[in-house]
Amino acid sequence: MKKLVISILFVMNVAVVFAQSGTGFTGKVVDSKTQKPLQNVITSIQNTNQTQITDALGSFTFKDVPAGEQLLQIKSSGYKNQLIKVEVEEGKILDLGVVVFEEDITEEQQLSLITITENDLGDDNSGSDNTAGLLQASRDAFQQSAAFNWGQARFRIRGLDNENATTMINGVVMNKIYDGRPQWSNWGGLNDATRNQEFTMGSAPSDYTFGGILGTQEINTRASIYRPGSRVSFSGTNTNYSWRTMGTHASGMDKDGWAFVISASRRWAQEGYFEGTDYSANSFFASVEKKINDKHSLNFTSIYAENSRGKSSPNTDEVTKLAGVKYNSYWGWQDGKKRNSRDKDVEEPILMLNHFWKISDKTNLNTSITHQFGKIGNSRIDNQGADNPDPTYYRNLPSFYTSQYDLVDYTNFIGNSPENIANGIAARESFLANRQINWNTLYQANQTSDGHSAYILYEDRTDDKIWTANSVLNSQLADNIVMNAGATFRKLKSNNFANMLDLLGGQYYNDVDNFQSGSEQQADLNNPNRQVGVGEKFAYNYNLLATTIDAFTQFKFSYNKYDFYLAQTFNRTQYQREGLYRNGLYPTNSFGKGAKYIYENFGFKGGLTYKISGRQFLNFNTAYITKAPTLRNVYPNARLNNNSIEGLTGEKITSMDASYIIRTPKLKSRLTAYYANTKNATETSFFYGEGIFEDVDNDGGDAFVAETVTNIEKQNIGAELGIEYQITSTIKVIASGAYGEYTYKNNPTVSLNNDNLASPTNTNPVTDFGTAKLKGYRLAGGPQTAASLGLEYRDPAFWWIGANANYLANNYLDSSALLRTDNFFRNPQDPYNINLPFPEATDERARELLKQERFADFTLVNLTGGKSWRIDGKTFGFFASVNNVFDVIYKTGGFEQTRNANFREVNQDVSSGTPAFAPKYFYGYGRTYFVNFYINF
Amino acid sequence: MKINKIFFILGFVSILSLTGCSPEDDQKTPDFVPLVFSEDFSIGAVDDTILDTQGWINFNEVGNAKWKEQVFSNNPYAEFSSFQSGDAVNIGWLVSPSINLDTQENERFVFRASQSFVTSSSNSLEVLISTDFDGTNVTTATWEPLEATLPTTSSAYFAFIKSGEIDLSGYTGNVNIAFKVRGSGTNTTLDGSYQVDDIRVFIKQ
Repeated sequence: MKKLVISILFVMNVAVVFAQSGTGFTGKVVDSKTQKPLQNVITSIQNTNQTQITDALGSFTFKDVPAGEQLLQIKSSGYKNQLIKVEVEEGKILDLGVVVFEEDITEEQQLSLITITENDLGDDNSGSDNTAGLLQASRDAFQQSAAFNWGQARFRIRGLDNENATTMINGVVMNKIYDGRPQWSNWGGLNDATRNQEFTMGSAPSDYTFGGILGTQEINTRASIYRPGSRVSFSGTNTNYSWRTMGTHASGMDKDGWAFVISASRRWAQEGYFEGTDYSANSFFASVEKKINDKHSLNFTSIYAENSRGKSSPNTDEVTKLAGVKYNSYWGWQDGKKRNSRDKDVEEPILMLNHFWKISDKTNLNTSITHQFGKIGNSRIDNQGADNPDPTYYRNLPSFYTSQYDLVDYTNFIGNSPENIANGIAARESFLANRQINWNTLYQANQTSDGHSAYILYEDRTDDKIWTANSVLNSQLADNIVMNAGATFRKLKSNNFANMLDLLGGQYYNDVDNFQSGSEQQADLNNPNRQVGVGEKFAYNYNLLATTIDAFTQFKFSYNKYDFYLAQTFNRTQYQREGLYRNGLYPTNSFGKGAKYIYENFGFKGGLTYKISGRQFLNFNTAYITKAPTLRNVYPNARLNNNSIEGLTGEKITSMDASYIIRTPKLKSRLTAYYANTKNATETSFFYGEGIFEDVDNDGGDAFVAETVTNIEKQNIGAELGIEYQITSTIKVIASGAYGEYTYKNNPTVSLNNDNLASPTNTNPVTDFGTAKLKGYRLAGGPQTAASLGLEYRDPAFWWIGANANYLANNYLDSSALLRTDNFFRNPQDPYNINLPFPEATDERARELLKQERFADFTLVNLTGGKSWRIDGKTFGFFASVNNVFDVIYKTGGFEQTRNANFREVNQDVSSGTPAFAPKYFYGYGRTYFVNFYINF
Repeated sequence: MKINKIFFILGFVSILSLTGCSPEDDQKTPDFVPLVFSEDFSIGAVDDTILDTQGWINFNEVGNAKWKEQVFSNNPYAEFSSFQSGDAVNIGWLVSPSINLDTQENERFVFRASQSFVTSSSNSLEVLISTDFDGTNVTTATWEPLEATLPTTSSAYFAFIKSGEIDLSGYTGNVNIAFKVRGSGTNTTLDGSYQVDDIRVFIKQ
């Protein structure tokens, strides 16, 4: 009897619980193939704060849902998002039964993407890097088009450089202090291990950081969140590598609270898409988590990715016509092998300890300590008092002869003289016969009487050591208020030096600068006339020391009709250069520690979502951010001296966007208009210029210079549209469009550092060139217009195919700032020193010569498809794609050579019809394929 | 819902139309003030030949010697020499094309000159200006001397000396500038040479 009473009480009690929370629904998520319950799947009710994660049985229950029509979203990495319409009745818990969750086979597509993000374009920090890597797992139709279909053409979302996006691993910012950009190679090839990602777009709030105006990417490597199991895949492609193999195993959490994930991959090619581009990358990943108790977990992540690859050269139209689109001047035969002189080697392991502390149901504090160290090396050949070994050196090409003008009579074109035509033909034959680096002649030239090497292979090395400590707090302050707060401390020591790789048959290398004389030749006056051997540092050697502190707070408010957020950040940055060599040109300001530069910056942002209905939203975001200048820009001549750019303060960025979003089970669409303005930006570059300075000793004013462009104002304005429509349950159409105008909004200031002018009394030989007329020029770096239309068929029998056509337009050549200063008209041979122009100069002709080149528009067609099978509890699958099916040849970027820096030289060069210093271009891949086979078990 | 759609399509269209005025319209070329007149004697220059630079009048008023084109180290210039002319007196004029001084203000004139083997001030170089030269009859025009820094007998040979800025703003209409050298092919104290180069008329900012 007693028992009965108790049991009745118990049952009653249960009934009461039901009655209290009566309105909602429950369900269970299972894998469509295995029919097994899926744990850790995120279920959320659209338009509310309610989110639940499925338990070990795959179950979820919402008990406090407003009655009426609701949209239930179910998502998990690796699966297709589901949006389910639920009619909630007051006082009832609706049982949705089993929700079948289908694996997203399109995710395999991500694997073909990595090829883009490690492309050469990002190498020289030219700003031409694209954001595709950022978007690999995004669900937004527009962003998917941008990444998968337009990424190969270097399309950048909103035309913004990826220094405007924050890439994190477990909440730790991975953007480099040096240039603000992430080094994708640091975790390249570990696609399986870095698959758990969260994204934000534009300046929308992230839980982990304040972020930039392009978005954030958070890679989560906490071992317990990986789906248990193993996966092995093998891929073949003809992009920058040929083969890839990858294996990953995740244990899941065991009884004792341990979980681990390991992953390894290798990618390699003897020769990638472009000639002589070898590739070798090995990546290892391990993550171990120990759940100490319900409140505390520790996770240790280690990532080791070594990547070595040969780069390919940008080429002029002349060279491309002679040698083809795939031509690469950087390699040469040696002992029957193609040896590339310009390798990029990256090896920067990451060690990260994360502490996850669940302070209460509503508050989490995640803290981490990260150490990253290692090296980046970019190799090249140096010639000391010997001919330039570059087969495309301008004197080796026909245009050197056929563009010639009489030295006395600048109007007298002699490029068509019988002699020059004959020389041009001979140069053509000679180039075609010697179109690659001739390593043997370099070895022969190094057989000198005293054993010194005239030619060497060396690398510009950066050895960074960085410590990062970081804490992120996440707290539900009230039912409708969430607070995020975080603080990050970073301390960097970056050793930069030239490292001898190969003396190419010689005995040693004299560490002097042949272009200077006397003590000015010395790279290090403290150790003059050094003879350098392999593995030794030379030429320059310095440390960059940086300490940064970032803090942010963010409050998110959610109400029935409105959500909004506010966030603010503060940042303090300190830079110092420490010279380890006393350079002969700068004896007083190259050695030892230089001045400390401290920058304090802040940012504010806010946004609002207005819910028109459960399916339609209006979203607005705005941000104002000031950023410390990057290390790269603070020290324009860091290799030689401690000088910094005077009065440099850093960028001021304003960003706004407005979106209309519609989400129905069949139609998902987003239309966004955006505006971004960046003031006070800085760009630095190095080149050899002719006719820039006063003509000294009849050198025509030629010099190797460092160019600094400051006070740049850029504006990126445009609109983006993405539509995804499910025509039938198996056929989906995706349309995306982007229209942007990315322009210079002002005339920035140009100055040049010319080491030749350095002296004990002139320790900062910087010449002010005034402003460059860049206003109205387009920013370079990818197409500003893009449109895509795609169809996808997904068969219930686990195979799918897709095709899309993409139109890309409005991509522009990078305009030289120096060419557009008033110096352009100044005749360096004028003896009066009063800046008189060339007599032949006219505004009309200048307009023609300085007109920005717009690359040809093009259309790319891509095909994708895949299938998977379930055999004996294992999933076998393959994915294949063909990009650029019609093998369209297109330019992705390029830059003006500034070697010709004035009206007369450019006018002569262009008028000749065969310019010797024409722009150099990068090309996209022609038809490429990617095939991937995988087994999950 | 429909109204919202229309609203946003309109918004999209308006953004596109706003951007209809292309940013390229803002582009300007670098600043410069074109020269009023310039001569380097480089166009068509042939070393050691009678000067025939287009537009210039090479007039031997007395004697047979004329101005010559010379090129040294790729730099062409004009030179007058009486040396071994065989004439007792040489007077050679080099008269510029007509220069319009009405279309701008504040004009300045500069050139560079040097000498070689000039030992007497009677072996002279004069710089003259005329407002009434008819284009052919050099001697019938009215020539006014211009104040310029010129090489002297003590100047280093072939070392070009800047004339200093000569103010032409007081002149209007079309003017011609002339370089006039006196010398002798028979009197060895008067058989030196003068070189002239880098002639500019510019607007003083």
